[in-house]
Amino acid sequence: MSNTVPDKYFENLSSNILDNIEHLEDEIQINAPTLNKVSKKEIYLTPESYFQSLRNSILKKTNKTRVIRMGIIRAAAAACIILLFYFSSSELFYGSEKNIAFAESEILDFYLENLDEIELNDLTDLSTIEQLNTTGLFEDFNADELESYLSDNIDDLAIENIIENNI
Amino acid sequence: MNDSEDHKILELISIDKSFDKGFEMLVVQYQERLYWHIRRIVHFHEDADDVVQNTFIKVFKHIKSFKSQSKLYTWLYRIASNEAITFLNKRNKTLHQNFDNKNLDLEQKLKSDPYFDADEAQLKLLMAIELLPEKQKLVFNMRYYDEMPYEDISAILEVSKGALKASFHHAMKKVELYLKQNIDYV
Repeated sequence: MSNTVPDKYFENLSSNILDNIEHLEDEIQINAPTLNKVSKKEIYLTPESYFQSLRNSILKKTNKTRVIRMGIIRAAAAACIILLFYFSSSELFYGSEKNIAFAESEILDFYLENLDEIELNDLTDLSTIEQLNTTGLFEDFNADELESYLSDNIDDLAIENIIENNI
Repeated sequence: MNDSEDHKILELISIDKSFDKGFEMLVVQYQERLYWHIRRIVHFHEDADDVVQNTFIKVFKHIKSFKSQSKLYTWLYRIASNEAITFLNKRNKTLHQNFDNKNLDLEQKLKSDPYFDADEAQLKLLMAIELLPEKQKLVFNMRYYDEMPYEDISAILEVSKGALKASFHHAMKKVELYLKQNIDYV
């Protein structure tokens, strides 16, 4: 925004304004004598202290406009965050499930295709681990309970032999 | 139309913290001038009240995009003129009246309006202006009533000074003819 004015602007300002008005008056006087006789008194009226209430009405309305605008901006921002969260989370969740499913199928395929190449020791290690885990099941049984369980379930084996060989 | 006052208003408006103060200053500074400009186009107080409020809401929404290449007051007058003409066009579409009936109706309504106080010659002048084409009417009002320089009218209506001078001259001639035919006392 510039604060400069043309040279001698203020010196000529008053005469320019007067020239302008005089020119208008001259123009009307010469070209429209009937119009020149019509009073220029204001023909429109306003209610009392209208301009004071107008100012208040305008400021009230513009504040309302601002609130609505802020509401729209906030709603838009919230919608953006929700959409962003939705897309990023679905990518994350679906992406990870896909990865897990893919990993499981990949492992299965790998085992099926390469079973011969897997060393026997590895399988033995796996079975040993399982065995160790299951034997733990009997730790809480006392001798009488164990005897009763085996007599109910394994009739054809001598209880003494089982106790001797396995426990 | 004080340039330094406009400069101060625009400076306040350009900063978020002082925006409200600047806008209030703008309203105080221009509400009356814009109201009277609009009132001469739409004639009735209630209509002018609606249009002037809508004008300031538009100003509020777009003031930050105002480029200081033009004067603030010519920019405000342009918005006010557009709002008033848009309002009239909408009203005329709903009324579906022919030109003569419309003017007769306007004259009757104005005579019974409590916020209208004109003598017979003033009323005839108003009816003469009403017969002018839309843009010529605007030029005539701004030049005759507001005594606005052609340069400013040119900025508001985006029409060359030469074309405006010709337009005002034609308008004045038409008004003069109408008054001669319709006023007895001259």
